[in-house]
Amino acid sequence: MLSVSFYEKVLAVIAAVPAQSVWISGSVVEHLGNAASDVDVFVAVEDRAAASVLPLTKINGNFDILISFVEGRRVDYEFWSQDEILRIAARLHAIPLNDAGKNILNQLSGSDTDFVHRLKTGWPVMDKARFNEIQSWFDFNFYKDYLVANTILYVDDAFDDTVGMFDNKDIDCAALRARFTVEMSVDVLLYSNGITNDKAKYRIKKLKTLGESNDFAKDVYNRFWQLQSKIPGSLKGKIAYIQDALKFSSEIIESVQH
Amino acid sequence: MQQVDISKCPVKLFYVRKRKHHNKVYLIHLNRIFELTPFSEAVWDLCGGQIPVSGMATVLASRFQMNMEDAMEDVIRNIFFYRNNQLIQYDKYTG
Repeated sequence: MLSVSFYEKVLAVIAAVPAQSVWISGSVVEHLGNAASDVDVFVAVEDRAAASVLPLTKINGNFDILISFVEGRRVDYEFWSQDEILRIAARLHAIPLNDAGKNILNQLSGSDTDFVHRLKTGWPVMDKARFNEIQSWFDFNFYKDYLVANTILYVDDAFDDTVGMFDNKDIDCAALRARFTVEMSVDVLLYSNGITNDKAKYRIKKLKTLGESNDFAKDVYNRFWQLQSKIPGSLKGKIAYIQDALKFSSEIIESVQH
Repeated sequence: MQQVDISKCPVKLFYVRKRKHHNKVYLIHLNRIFELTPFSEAVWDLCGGQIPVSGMATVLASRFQMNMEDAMEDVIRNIFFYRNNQLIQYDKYTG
């Protein structure tokens, strides 16, 4: 838990910037991180030039970054212009989820999905009303549905890769691809339950937490751990592993699509 | 009627995936895609190696409000199709 004085110091670093709203997000807010985790601070500004008064600001795609340290802890500030935020919202809501003939694969970039998730889970520390207004530009349920649909495409690709490798007796590759298929399937389960954090490093933690209130997820956690932690060394074992992994993937996706 | 041993328990093959896409349901094995009706999906879902073909007919006759003879005929037709297309195998025997 971060203290009030910590947040005051966080805001003091960017006091010279005319921010519309500021919110804390990332692993600290989501209780996924640890005492050494960075703190991610999002700053909505009317124009990115507004942040140019600060030192160490570097251009990174569609937002600017300032890295600072508060009470010995790293704090990453991201400065997002109102126009860019609106563009992300427009890109999200233009995704043709309900059009069977249209491609939806990777319609949002990594920075887009990071931003949307961190807006969704953010904790406003300056101008809550404006923060709520910015949140209202996004349909987070639609965002969740997009993540589910997009990740199922990854599952399907990995699933078919695995089957093709298996048929070709390329068993080592198939075993590793089967494991990836399961990983993506677990992500689909997490997304479908509203857990839109897409960081793979926290996958197992998110699944375990979900399992505390969801029996199916609890079972998935136990089986996922077994599949992740041990691929057999023997050919017979690898073949059984591939079959188990693909069946497990199918069970997860069918439960989500049911 | 196709030749299907109704005492056997069909089981899905691991390389087949079922997907829902815009209110339609498909079985997919690499480049082969089969669209399912609600009844054929129900048959597929029962192919877990636990229920014999005869038992499927009993379950689905009730669920789809059909007479037993029609349900059995439809189940057998679907099982025959799945088996012919190598989407299922018989793993277990009830007898």
